[in-house]
Amino acid sequence: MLGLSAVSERYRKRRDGQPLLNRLEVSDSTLRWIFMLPSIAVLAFISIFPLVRAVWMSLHDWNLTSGKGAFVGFGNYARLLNDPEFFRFEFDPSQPLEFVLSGSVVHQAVYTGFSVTIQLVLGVALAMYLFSLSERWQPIFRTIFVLPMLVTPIATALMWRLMIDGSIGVLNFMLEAVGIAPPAWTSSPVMAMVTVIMVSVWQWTPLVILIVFAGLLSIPESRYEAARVDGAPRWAIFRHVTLPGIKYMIAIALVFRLMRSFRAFPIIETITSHGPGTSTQIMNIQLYRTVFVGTGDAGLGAALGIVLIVLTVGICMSIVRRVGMMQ
Amino acid sequence: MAGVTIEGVTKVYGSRESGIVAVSDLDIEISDGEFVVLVGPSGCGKSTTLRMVAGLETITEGTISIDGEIVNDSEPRDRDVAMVFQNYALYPHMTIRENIGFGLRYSSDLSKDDRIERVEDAAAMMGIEELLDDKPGQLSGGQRQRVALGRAIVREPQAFLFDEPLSNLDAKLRVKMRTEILQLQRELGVTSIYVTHDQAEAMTMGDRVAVLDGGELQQLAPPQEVYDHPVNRFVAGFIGSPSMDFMETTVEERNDRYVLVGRSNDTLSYALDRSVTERLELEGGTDLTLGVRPEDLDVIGDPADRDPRNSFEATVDVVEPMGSDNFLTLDVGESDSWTARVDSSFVPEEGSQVGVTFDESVLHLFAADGETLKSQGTTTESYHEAEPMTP
Amino acid sequence: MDVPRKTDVGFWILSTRMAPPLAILIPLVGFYFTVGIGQGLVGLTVTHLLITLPLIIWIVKGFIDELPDSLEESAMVDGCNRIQALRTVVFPLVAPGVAAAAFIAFIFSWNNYVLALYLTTGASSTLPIAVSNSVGTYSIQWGQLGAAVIVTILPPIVLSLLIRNYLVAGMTMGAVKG
Repeated sequence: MLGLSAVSERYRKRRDGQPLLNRLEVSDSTLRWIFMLPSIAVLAFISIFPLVRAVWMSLHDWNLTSGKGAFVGFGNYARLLNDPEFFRFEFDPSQPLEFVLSGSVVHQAVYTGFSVTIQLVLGVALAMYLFSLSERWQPIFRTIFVLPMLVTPIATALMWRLMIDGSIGVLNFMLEAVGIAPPAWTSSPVMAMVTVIMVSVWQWTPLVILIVFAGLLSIPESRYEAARVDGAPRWAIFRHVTLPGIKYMIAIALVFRLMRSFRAFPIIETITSHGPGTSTQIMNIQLYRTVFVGTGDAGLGAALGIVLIVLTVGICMSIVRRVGMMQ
Repeated sequence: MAGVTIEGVTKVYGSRESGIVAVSDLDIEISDGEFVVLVGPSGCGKSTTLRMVAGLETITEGTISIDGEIVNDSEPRDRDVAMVFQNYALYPHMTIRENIGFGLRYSSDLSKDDRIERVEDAAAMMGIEELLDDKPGQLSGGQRQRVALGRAIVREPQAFLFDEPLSNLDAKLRVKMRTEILQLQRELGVTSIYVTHDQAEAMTMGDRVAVLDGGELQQLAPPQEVYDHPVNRFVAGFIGSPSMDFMETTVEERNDRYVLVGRSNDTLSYALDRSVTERLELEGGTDLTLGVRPEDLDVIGDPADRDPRNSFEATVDVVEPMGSDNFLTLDVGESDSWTARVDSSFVPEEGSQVGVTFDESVLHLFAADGETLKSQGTTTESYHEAEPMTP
Repeated sequence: MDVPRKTDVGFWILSTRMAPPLAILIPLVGFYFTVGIGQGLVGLTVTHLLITLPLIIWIVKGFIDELPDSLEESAMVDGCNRIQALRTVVFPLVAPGVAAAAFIAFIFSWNNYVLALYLTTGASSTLPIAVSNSVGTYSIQWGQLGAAVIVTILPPIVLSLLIRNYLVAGMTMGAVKG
């Protein structure tokens, strides 16, 4: 049995030979702050500083390069609301069918709504198809399904732009070969929106497939077996076993697709140049054009940025909180 | 090697005023080389206590000393204890050799050759020499358990701490490892604290058993004493398998004798011997809980043969043959059914009436607050100090 | 290790990641002009660093959360202090996760178009910008385009296949274990 002094001697000897970091006697409470500080500092810089500064900018006349101008209060927000590029609604009761509803908010809603919905439905369906494949084909199809997601978005955009080009487009050529007149992909407002949604679906459905597939793999086989033993028909198995099993995954896919759809840029800008006119200009693109193209109206842009941040973070985080991703 | 003293230890999670009390004012003194088992239902504070000894949890109040030295503020690594975790906590990226030698690398100043020798000795002791170059992922549950033990013994620590180390093993292996741990501990003579929720492990392994409930120590005694003389109803019900049969009764005076009468069913009565009533200074109208262990019940096939003074009728609900004996589930008219352990040759028909009786010496009596008044036997130690509550 | 207000910090980190990069870029660019770096690779690098950090934190956190606490505790009972336990036990075990997080962050930065579109010009433009520029309104430089596209899309694809087991976790910031 060792005495106290012998014990402490032993520890001292043992520590002296070690690198400095291991010899440091740091209490847990100090240590947790040492570990957290760099990240907290950077995070503060990325989230608090820009946010405060953006709010500050949005209350001023502000030019991107020349800097701060006069304080205008909520003037920039007022300008934004009155900006037909942001939101425009004209309705004449005498001609109820010829109303005008446009602006980046509306385009955003249409683009986000349709692209995310189609991606989710298609993604779940393809994930289930992938799941039903034999072990031999699963990895092959999985790779094929995933590939579009791995292609750099700008390359996707260029590829599609060339494929639907009026004179050299492969897609048009193929459609003509089977006797279908190729549509005017980007020249009408509605068709342009359909086209960008289509490309977005091509690029991002794979993410939904991957996420939902992971969910399908996590459902224990015994649950299907229990349902089969209970004599449940196929639709009931889907409704009561599959769907509850992938509910969380669908919500996660929804969050990440929503988030990305609010920041969509290269596909739309490359394929339709937010046109014709501004008919495929979503909020993110309006923000870019307001601030970084032309005169650099950073005050208005900051106001738009705040609206965009509040919308994105608000919607995504409310889903995150509801599905319990934080746990 | 050294003794471990836990003195007035309290653990509160959250704030001291409104937090959750996990352990409350715990006193346990463990002498050098002793094997003490902490047992109790989940949430009773047994694991928290062990983790406080290891230094993995802070101590809210009280002191813990190892070898006479207060270790409240020492880091786990300075306490010179070894711990075996429920999931073994083997480092998956290291070989078994590295796993066992890990503690030596950091907590001793042995030379490399000495360390290798010690690791090989420990592996030989646990019979896992051939596994030394494998990774934990390649091992079976029992083998991992041995590695975890090897990792503990190689350090020759002041104390072994076991946190439910056998609960991930199958029943047969569990019994085998139980014996092995015990032999190992006897051989090495290292002070050990062993946490389990399994009363069988507590009974078979401990020099002494500490029964905990709700963060409080109920009883600290050698296993046989805990079994024979539980200090309260909780301990009586927790230790022993199948667990003790209970009946809520009231003392009534009938023909100059005291009789225990079932409170929910007054056809159940058990006449007490004068020696018992005098010793306990019972009065009519006192509420008592009667307790009998299933192995102490006598079941009489024909209820007509029974002595009506100290027996009653019951219906056989289920007969479970265990091979060596049969477990009968009996409906005695109480809300909880009773279990009786009888000889395997006695197989009453399910649904039939039987007589149930037991000797006064095996009778346990508990006061309304749960304290034991009388336990197994008729000697002095069977009568407990607590006063019966009078209405 | 218990950290005060853990969930709130986590929530904050996550929401930082949710905000569209362009909206964050506006105040940052103003700041870059003030400190004199203006447009260019320095500003682009700093911006990427800031935007990627929450992603890395969140992914690596996911991997660390999956390790049983008892491994770290066991190392500490076995004579390690917190830093040694981190180095010898925790870090080797989450190393694949850290690598995956690094690759994911690399892919995000490599692919990013919109930040580079404003922050880089001419000689400093990144690959996605160069690819985009090789397709003019009236003429296409086919050779240049082909080469640029290959160089652009190959690294992300190769890296993604390398970390395919962690890809889903990476893309969803650890919300889904693939």
